[in-house]
Amino acid sequence: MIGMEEKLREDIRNAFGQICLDNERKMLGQRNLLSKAQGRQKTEKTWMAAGIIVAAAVFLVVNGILIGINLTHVGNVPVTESEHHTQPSETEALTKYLMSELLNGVESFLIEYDGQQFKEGGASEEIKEFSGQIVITNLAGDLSGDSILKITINYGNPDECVVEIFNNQTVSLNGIRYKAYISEKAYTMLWDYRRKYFEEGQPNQIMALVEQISSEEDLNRLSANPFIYVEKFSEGFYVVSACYDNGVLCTLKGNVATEIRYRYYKTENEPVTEYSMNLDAQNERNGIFGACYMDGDWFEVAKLENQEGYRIKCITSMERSNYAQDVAEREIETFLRLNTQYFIRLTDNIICIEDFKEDSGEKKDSASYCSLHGWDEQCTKDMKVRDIYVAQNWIGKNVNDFAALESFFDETASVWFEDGNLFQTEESERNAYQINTSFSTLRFEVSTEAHDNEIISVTLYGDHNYVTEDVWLGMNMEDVKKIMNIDDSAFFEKDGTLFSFFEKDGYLYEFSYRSMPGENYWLYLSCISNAAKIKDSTVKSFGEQMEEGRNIFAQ
Amino acid sequence: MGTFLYSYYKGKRYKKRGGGEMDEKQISEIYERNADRVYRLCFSYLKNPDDAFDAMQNTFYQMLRKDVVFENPEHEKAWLIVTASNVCKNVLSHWWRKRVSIEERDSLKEEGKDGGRQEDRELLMVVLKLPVKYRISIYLHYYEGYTSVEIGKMLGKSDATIRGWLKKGRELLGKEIG
Repeated sequence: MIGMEEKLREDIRNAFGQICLDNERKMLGQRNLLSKAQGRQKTEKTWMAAGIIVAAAVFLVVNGILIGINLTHVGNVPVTESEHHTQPSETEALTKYLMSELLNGVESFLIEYDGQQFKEGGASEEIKEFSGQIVITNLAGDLSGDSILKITINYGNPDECVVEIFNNQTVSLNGIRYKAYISEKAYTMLWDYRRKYFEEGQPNQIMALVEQISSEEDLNRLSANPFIYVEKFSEGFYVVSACYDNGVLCTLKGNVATEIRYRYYKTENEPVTEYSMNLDAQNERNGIFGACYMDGDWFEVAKLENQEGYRIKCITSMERSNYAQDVAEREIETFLRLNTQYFIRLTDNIICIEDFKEDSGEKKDSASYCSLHGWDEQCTKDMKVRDIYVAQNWIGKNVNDFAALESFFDETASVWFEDGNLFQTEESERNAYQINTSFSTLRFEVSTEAHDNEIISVTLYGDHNYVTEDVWLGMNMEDVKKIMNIDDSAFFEKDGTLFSFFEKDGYLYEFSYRSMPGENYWLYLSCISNAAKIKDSTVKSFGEQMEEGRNIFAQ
Repeated sequence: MGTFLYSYYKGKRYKKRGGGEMDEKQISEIYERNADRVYRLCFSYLKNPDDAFDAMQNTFYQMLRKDVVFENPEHEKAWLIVTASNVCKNVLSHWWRKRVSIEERDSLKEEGKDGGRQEDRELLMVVLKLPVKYRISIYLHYYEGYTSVEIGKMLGKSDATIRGWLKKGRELLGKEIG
């Protein structure tokens, strides 16, 4: 055994030894690091002077936001900032790119180099030269309006704030990747500006904008404001939320907030109708980064301090309204927008995928799961983890929704055929697409018709341990039979396995049971969209061994 | 200027980063000692040379920015591993990471193609396809030589969990490589 372990260690060491940092990159990394260190020293030595400059700059741009973007080349042909000076063609291409993409929608801009104003102009102008630092200035005069550059700034890191440009994409140019950072100076200026703006009573200006909403146009304009979170749902339904840290307005993302305020609007008619006023929700000092409204309830999503996981908490329970129906289909998208691919919503439940781990030793029932993650009683009541395994919940759903579970299964013991991609099975025309994955001893399979995304069948395979203790939360064969209303007389036996086919609520089910040594048994439950569909199918759906069962069912 | 804290390691003075005075020689030495290690770990997480390089740089930038005092080489190594892990987790948490699978696969094929044995490359491909928790625990245990207790401390997990991950990782590896 020890020998095998040593062999494995040696093999793995050799394997990981393949990952090498090439000399070019290594040198580049060192240069960048030392450059960074020098920059910090310089900054510290001139801290006071910089403070004065910053204060002056803040004063000058009191009606705008200065955002500095320090572009660092991180791509295939590494170039340091200083090397940008020696590559004019690349620089020119980059500036063109910036003009066409990055500055799109910005009314005017200002470029600085080494603290000196370098270029100021309008969006239509072409920048011929460019060096390490660019400062984009919004001179619109307030925080509203289309001229705000749509970027997200991580306020948490003073000198290395990644500016996420256009849907978080890294800037890519001619196959060379750049990553944009906000400069320390610009960060300081932004913070000073923000502090001045929000701590001296000016949040009222923003809230005044909210108060003045009278049209859909107002709402759309407000959505450009980085401090107001505007969620647009279907049918003209808007949710406006703002995050506060001890009374000071802050962004929803990456900040600690003590309160979130919400309003929602229906814009079918002018003026818009406001349906709710300031739903205040105190919360713990966690890193809240989003809120979501679903089916009449508000949920806040928070990143727990010093933990990997996220917490989702139902913060209010509102009576379901007609308007809630309007937003019902947007919930997954909403969560995705909140950068929480770990969450999905299934029927009436929210499932946190990330923290649902098979080897935690935790029992995976709803109550213990919620208790583990500190979710409140309301959510506990609403959430049933097992619903993820209830076959009929998936029938009729888009197969891509199931695919959204990838990270869940990937985090467990997944086996995705074809790297998780849908694949076409040659032997089956009906089950043209299948996702077949495993969760420990449970296997979970969904199928769709060819060239269609609608899930028409779901099959669960499980053995005693998981079926009884975890997955179906105490359901054993008798429970299944009872719930599914399976008549004992409907069973037939073949090679030691009991089969039954039955219809329930318009679904066709196949259920099989096989005793295993000891108290164990093995269950198979397949749910097909409807009996008519399967009867009309020209293709064998259950395999040869099930043929006899189907014949019995057909009779 | 701020007050500096000092620590001593192999006769060299390490200053707390509060004043930004860790000299270039010391920074270079730390970089030289750990660049490959950090890059390798980042690659194990991100499976992409560009992202791994970014993450490696960010890790060292964090070192500059934080008021960290390395007490000894082990502390230095462990701190960088933990920081790199956190940096990589942040990267992985971005939704657009979901969209890079094709690029990732190509990167995997490229890595190590210029040298090394075919079987090593194949094993690397298999390991890197494991879910992240398994491949990182395997990397830290088998490559870096950490025990499950040490890995647990680094990753904020119990040693039982790490042992479970290692066991599962070995099983999955076994299935793949026979």
